[in-house]
Amino acid sequence: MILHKMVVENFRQFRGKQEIEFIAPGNDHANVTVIFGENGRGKTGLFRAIVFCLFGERRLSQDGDVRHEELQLVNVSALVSTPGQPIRTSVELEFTHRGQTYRLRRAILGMQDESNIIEEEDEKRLFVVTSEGNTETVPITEIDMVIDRILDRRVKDYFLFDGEKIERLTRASIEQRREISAGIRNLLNVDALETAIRAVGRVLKTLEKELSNSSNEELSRLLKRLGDNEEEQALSRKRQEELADEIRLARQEIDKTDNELTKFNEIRHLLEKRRSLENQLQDLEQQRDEALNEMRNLVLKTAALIVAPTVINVFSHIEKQKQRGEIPSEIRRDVIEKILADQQCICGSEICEGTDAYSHIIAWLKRTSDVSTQDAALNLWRYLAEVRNHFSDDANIVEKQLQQYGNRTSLIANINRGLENVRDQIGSSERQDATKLDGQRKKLQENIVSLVAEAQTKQTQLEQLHQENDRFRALLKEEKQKVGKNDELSRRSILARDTLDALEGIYQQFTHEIKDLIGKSATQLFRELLDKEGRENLRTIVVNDDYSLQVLDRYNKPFLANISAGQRQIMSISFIAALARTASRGENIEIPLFMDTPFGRLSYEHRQNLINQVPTFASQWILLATDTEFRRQEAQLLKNSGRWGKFYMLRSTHDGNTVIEEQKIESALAILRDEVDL
Amino acid sequence: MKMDGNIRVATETKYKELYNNMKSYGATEDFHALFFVCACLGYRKGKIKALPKRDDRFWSRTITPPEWACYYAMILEQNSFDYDKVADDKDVLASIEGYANAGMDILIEEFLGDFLLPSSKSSDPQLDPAFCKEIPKQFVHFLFDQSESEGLE
Repeated sequence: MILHKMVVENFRQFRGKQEIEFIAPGNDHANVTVIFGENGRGKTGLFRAIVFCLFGERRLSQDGDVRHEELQLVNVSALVSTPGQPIRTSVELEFTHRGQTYRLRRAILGMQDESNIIEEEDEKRLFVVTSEGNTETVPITEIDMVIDRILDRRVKDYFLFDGEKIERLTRASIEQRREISAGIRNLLNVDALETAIRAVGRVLKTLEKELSNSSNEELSRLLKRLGDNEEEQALSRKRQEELADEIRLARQEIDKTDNELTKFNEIRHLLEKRRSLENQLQDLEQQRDEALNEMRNLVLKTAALIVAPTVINVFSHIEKQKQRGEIPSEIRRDVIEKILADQQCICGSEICEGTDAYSHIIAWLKRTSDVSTQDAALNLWRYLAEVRNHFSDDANIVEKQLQQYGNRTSLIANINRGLENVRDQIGSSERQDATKLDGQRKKLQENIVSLVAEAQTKQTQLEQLHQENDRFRALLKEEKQKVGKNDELSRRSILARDTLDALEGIYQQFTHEIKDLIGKSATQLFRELLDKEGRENLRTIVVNDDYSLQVLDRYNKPFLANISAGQRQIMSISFIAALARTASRGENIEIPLFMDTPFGRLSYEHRQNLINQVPTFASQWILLATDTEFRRQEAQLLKNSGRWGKFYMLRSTHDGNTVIEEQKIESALAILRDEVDL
Repeated sequence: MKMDGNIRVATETKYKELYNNMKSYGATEDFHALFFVCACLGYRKGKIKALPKRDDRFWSRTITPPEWACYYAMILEQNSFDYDKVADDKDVLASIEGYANAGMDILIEEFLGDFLLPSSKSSDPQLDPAFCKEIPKQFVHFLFDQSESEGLE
């Protein structure tokens, strides 16, 4: 199936007739259509339009238990502007499948009845243009059957999906197993085999009922025990189904609570902002307190700066004394004193009082200090040198510390002002409501945990019953053979049992092989789509016998519980692609991959890989993306791949409607942003 | 200039509480540090004031060598570099006590006035805990303003 064109008329936000032409795979390799719009512009509306047109369904899997009447399709502003007049809402899809062109149109009429909007089915038409160019109308009663043959409604969720929700496939739950098992069975056309198994099972049951009334006590006893076992198995399976439903409902309830909580998005944002500001404030206050404690260590350094001129002056004075040879003195004081006392110079000449020589020596004596004073002066010179040498650094340190302290204090004041502002914006009543909803959500999650635990217990019981059943069957077969050589009823019963076992064997073998094939194909795709780190650690995707998905790490150990939401999304996409590839017998998937919010949870490297790889294995890729996930970087990558064929923008109008505008791909790079504030 | 550690250094009796407060509110590490600050302030402003009532505050062994060096430098500068004036550490500290005493008056006048309990101002000054949260930073700021840090190499 290749989508070519969709025309919507008064559908949801899209007033009047508007159309989108999808790029279809052709000679130029382009097969990607991007429909870009900010939140609330109607991307999911387009997704809904396709599902509505193909299957007449207005509910999407992500709608949960939103009431039917809340899912209006008719454009409300068109309805309001023509009071009393019915408004026609329609979706028309043009697509090709195996060489034939189809044009499918589905319409409803919307009417305003006082405050209610009534929507009634109006038209459902399917035209087929044959390869010879003739147009044929498919009878209305056969339309659904024809469409189901092209794309089975039971597997539509695999190809038309919300990128953020698809990762549920990897959740190891009964629901997930059921979903995957159904997906594999439906896509691989094993329905006929299942029908045969059910029919033979019914025949066997009738025969064994008749046999249990026979006179052979052992045979009756074994048949009864087998019957009890099967009944118990059926009850366990039923309970498993109930549990799966309860879990599904609880999850829907969580989704609903989450939707309610989105009403508090603004307040949530504010709460997050408050928490972030409070954390920043705490950090800054701690830093400020530490800085305050450090301040006392700066007191001595700063005080020394006050007497810096004195220190420098005295240091210079001693330095000069040193340079003049006064400290240490060239001639020791005690030597001069001895010369004066002996009145004789060291050269032997006499020195008498009153002579010039005597006066010189006295002056010399005056300039000379004693040894201990000289030593102390030299010590002082060294200490002062050390103090002096640190002045510049100390002044810088003190100035810097004071500046940093001031900056922190200003920041603290700013954050406090911001906090006050945020607190003002958070109303106390709203906060309470949000907290209450969070509480409800927590309870639901706890409930799910206990339901899942019960489901696991049931699974173990079932496995035990199954083993018991095998044992009874073997015993029964033996007993039947013993008594039934001449008994027609026993022979028929044995034959029916053998047939059933053979059919089940074929079924098991077939599904086992298929699961293996899907696992291998999914692994290959998974490794192509994963980022480098993921590739190093995650090795193999396995479809288990119970249809749960598992991923093995480099040591072949189960690792599913540890992978991120983004990796789960990649894993689910790989599984879907593998499923389709297997169904297409290894060819490219002949079903469009229609992805809403494709990159929301993905890292840039994952986005890069998806953009490079998906167009190579999907015949057509339609992306409904928002500004936070489809930025200039992603657009550039897609453009470089040469696969991008069409680009549409959803623009809102003043009256709240949305206009679909086709843009040139080149212009996308100018329109889109580099980074988006999340 | 022996940096004698066995001398009792005194401050005026009325500043006892203030010395204790400055230490307990984290403005100074120990008594010798506040004493050094006051001495520097008194010397810088050329003020010296005798202590009418002496109260031993700390042992000279807590004075660090750089502090001693500054004290000797002050006395030498003040006495035309006469080394005899710094020969006896007791005399040095006695002179420095005068500078520190005058320096404390300056400190109170120019900085601590706003931090004191009003009732204590006229007698034994004491810090008011309500205003002392940031006193370590404000103290350093005040001292830095008093210094001539520009042009230091």
